[in-house]
Amino acid sequence: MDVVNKWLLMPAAVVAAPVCAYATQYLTIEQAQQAIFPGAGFIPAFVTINDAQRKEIERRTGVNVRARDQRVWRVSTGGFFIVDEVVGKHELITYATGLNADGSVRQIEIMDYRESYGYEIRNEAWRRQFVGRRDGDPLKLDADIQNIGGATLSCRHIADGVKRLLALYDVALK
Amino acid sequence: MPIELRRARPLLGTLVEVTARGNCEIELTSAVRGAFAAVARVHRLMSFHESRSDVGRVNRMAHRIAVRVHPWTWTVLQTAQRLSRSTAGAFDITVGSELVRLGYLPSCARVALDRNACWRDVHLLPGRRVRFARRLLIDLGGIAKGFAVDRAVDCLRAGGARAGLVNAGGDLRGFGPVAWRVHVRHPAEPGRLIPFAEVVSGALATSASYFAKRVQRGKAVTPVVDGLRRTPTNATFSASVAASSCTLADALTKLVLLRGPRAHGLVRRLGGRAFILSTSGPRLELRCAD
Repeated sequence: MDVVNKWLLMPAAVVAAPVCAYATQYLTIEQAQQAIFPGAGFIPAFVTINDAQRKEIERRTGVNVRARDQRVWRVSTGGFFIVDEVVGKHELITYATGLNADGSVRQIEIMDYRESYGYEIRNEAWRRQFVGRRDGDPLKLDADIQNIGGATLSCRHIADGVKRLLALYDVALK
Repeated sequence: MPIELRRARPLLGTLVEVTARGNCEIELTSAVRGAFAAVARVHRLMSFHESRSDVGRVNRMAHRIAVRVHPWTWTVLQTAQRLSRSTAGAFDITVGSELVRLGYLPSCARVALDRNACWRDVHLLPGRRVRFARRLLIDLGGIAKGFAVDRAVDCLRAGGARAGLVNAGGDLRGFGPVAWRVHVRHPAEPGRLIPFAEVVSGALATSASYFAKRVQRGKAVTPVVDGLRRTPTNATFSASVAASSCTLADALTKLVLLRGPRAHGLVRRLGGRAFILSTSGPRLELRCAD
């Protein structure tokens, strides 16, 4: 049982003040690019989709298209690098998807994970403020929280997001 | 100056986070990549949803013929069967059919499943072959995440990381000379994170139904099903288990969710230590076996 004895349980901490927001940045855009396509060059090829393309993506995937502007890079070694965001009831996730030259998924990397509870999240303007910000967040994010041991939210939103990006590839990038 | 890499990818239906510390960035990058590859491999082998996975194949064919599986799947099946035996059938991977009925897993072809099937009907034969005595569906959802964490930790160690932590949706394991601080969710308000423990070297898995609970025909249901009663738990507490391996810790949290404080002794005998976090009015209560 020596493993168990190495554990320091802190019963006093159980009454500690609640923390309502949590954020982790895993990768910057440049780091994500190198993580998915090591050594490659990246040429911005940002896309703004029109109404017909949006409808076509929604028809194919059954997933709502929230943003018309999509941050896409063409990769020197072939394929695409796309930065996208998904918003759940309580979470906001920025992630990078690498597509191979044939349009198949090469790799997905989470760039930012943010989680929040409370009334603010329902407010669209507040959410927009939340997106893409590095400093001066309206929330106090607890930097002490390193690891959440309780169940995480499912990654269903990311799966839907990737589905949407694959349709974007077919409709606007190919 | 030690370097820390922290990466996350969506795998196993959750977010898998890998943290590695060491002295060489190139070495760490490749160790982290290897760790994710191991998790992805477990996903491919043990996903209920993918028909070409080992689980998909045995569910489709093992009632007719013996199906050979990958050594990793074999290890997980052996551990699961051992746990079924020592928990008198409370832990049971053949609850796949109940999970389909409850809507947690997709129903495959219209097959007549045997309602009396249980873990005893899963036969592990020489040559890593699996045969079912009745038509049933296995689901490794209660144990595969923990196994994936263990394999990822192996990769980090073999790849030269001095210390590391792998966290697959609340099933985590740390190693190296670092006290990894872990917060768990408040069982009634999962947005609140509570400082819980420091993991020095070992695994801590936590299960609770806060995000998985659903209402079916007016009744609250969860995806943790009692192998004996074939009904889902209605536990409102969260169950954490500390153990040396994450496979064991993950599986034992299901036993604690099903049996509550009565599971403490059995969890202890099986090599873990159980913690139950519950609410009583505004108060948060932590119960653990001494």
